[in-house]
Amino acid sequence: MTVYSNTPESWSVAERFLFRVAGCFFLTMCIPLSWNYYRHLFSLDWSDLNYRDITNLGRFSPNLLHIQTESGQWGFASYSDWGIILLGSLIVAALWSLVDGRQSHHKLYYWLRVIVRYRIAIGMIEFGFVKVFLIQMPFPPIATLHTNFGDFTAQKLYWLSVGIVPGYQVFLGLVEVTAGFLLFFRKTAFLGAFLTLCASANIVYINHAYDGGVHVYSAYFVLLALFLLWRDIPRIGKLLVYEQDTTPLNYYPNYSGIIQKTARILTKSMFILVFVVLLAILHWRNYNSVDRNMKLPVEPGLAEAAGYYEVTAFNWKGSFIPSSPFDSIRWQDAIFETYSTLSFKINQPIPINLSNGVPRNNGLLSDWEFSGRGGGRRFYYYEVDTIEKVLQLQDKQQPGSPIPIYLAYERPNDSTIVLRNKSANSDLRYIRLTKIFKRYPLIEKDDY
Amino acid sequence: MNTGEIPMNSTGWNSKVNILFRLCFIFFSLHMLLFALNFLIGIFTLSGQGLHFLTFFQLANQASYLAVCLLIAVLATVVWSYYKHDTAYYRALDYWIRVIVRYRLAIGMFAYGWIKLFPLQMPTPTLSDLNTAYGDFLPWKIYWLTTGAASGGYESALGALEIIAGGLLLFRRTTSFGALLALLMLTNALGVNIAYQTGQYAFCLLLILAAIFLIAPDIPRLYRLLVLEQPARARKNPVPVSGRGLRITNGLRMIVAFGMVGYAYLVYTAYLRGPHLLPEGNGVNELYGYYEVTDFEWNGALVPYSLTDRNRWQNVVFEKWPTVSIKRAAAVPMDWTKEGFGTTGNLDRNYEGAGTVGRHYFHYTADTIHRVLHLQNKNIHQRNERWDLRYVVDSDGGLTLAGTEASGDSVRMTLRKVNRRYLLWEGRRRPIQLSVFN
Repeated sequence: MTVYSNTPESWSVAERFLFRVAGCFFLTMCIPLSWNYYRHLFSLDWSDLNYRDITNLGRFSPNLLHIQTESGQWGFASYSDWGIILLGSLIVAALWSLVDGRQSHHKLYYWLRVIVRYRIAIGMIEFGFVKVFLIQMPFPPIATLHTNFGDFTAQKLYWLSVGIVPGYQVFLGLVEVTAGFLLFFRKTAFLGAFLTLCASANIVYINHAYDGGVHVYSAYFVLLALFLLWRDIPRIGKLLVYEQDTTPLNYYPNYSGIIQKTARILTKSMFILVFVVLLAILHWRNYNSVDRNMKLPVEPGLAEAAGYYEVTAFNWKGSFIPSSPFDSIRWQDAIFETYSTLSFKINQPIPINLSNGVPRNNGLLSDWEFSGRGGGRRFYYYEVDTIEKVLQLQDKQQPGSPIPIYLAYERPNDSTIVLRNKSANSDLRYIRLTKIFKRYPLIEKDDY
Repeated sequence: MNTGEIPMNSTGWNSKVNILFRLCFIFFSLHMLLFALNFLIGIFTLSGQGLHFLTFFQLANQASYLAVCLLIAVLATVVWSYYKHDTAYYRALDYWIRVIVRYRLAIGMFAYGWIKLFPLQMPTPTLSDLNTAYGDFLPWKIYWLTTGAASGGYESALGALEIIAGGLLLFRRTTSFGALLALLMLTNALGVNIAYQTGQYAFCLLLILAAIFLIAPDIPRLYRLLVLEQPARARKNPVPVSGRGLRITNGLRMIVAFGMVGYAYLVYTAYLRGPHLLPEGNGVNELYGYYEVTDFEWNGALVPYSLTDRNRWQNVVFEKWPTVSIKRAAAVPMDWTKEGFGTTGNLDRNYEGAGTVGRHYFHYTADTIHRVLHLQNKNIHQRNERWDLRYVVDSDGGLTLAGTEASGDSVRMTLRKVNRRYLLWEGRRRPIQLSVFN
């Protein structure tokens, strides 16, 4: 192996200044600046870890301003943190140039590249695993299948479109994990940075095109990857475009002492152990556990009830109301999911939850199934008392309202569920649900 | 790499590379022969109205008999490797096959790039799509609609990248970049095609093979430069032809470049006419919109609102073009078309109803003087369903429809126009409150 240690050349004034700016800029970008990060890091219970503990360690970026305008959240102004850091870096670099007479910073450049490599690596791996284990974009539940295409936000539509093809989501995740893993090693750093650039650049555009909300964070990786690729771009041009033989001259500090070698191997192993091995194990455990942390609830629903139901009778204050899509009281349909969510369509305005949906291990709090969607559907979490045959329902979209609804259920036959209201102060008396056996092209695909 | 200086006319390949080269050479030559034949036949059988970008799009898409080409290539390689060991002329062969494969890949990238740059491949979701349940689409249709719903020129940006890749492929010095960009996009496209079952694999695979073939010689030198960080040798004697050979190469490049410009122009004119996958012309303007069917009589008997009654119309969408789509419980036979959608008459333009069973699509003609609509089911399995419906528009945009079906059933219904707000277009940037419709 050829190591070109201690390259003799010195840098020009412009190169030195540029490096000093880049040094300050990328160091600031790659170091967690938030106090909460360190609090989280030092309060970790390493004996009882959840995948999200590690995930949160790999997910950070400078967050100085919180501009509340539309552009500050979705557009150009959302990148203003970078501008501020660049400005600060210019000032610091200017001062640095005044006091530092060195002709080059080969060693610092080496270390800066190491820091950027490791920063990207843990970020991409963490991000990739969330896809590999199908957490980021879940497969649509029944209520989603019965929501009209136009009643989703663009963000939701994009995420759903990946959620319906789990194999493709795993593929996308593996690309990100591979990109990150390659960055742990100097020799494969270029490949890793290039893969990071390709994957992240696409994600940036998608986030702008669908208002996904993580455009700045994904652009952050594009920027870091470009920094790593920078050095080799002229060489590739020389080799392929100008068709000239090319010799790469890279400086590497000579750390051959036993302590230095050990420290290097230990540090590298620690990162790989935590962000690849441990994270994969934690994900695997979470994926297979009963109370797993996912975006959809995992508590089992009423046994053998999952499906789409027509409301064939609806009694309000003792009289039966006929079906109408405009009715603000009568349920128009009802859906039992495989997990413990009951949803029904009703023509009442409701504030739309516009969040991206966070994984929860509590069905009452998980909001993915109704975030970013309209169409008048209401979502209730329920607990089943199988002895008394009562459902205790809790409104998921209005977490402020604590009063549960108690519905006694009967199952006269396989396709019918009768619900009777047990709560005293309610006008709703009686509901009969009749199952509609439906097949979905989205699920059966070419076998439909 | 360790053999010292290589003579100018020798390739310096070992026997394995020689065999691989023979295989690739024959495979791509056979494909190009078929491609050229198909293209010439296509050009000479072109009629006046055939001067449409779709004609050239389909010609560029040619990727049939790949397995046959491969089989013949394998057999021929065996024979060739057995009898011929003179490799002195391989450098010239290599040069020519690379020129041809470069232009073939470029043509493929241009064909798809331009129809994305001017977004024709995946139109914006229609009003009917917006009112179709998510689960009622096949995955490929979801992919198309989702891409069509993107803002910020996403589809165009993808197209621009494909065109740039094609452009880079026209020049030897930038070929590696073009092939790499193409390879990245095509790999993703193949993943998408498999995952969403779009049914288009052969063409994608062919282009991926072409891109790999073009990059392959540069992989070792890039590996040395970027991974081993050791001196890397550039291509030696990259143009082993001169004079007439160069003129042929330049001529081919001009043909491809001019062809692309002509194709781009045809795509652009088609873009100005509107999405070619959707029907042309206007429907009855005042009818455009979404309607809930509030009262419905079937053969004189009132049918209450129902999710399961096969005859009861639940809601109706009038598109801007002469299509009306109806939501009712009766099953829709799946239109499995995934490519080559009808583009001749409005009845045949089946893209809007393909890959979904959510709504019944009808083409209609209107007699606006006598206020009668003539509906015909667009689904290839239900073409015999025809309605003649008198219509009355009331003051608040509502409709009364009454008439008969070809087989004798009669309907009478009241439609209430609903100005729906769609979360897709409302966006997520401001807090919003919605009920079922708005």
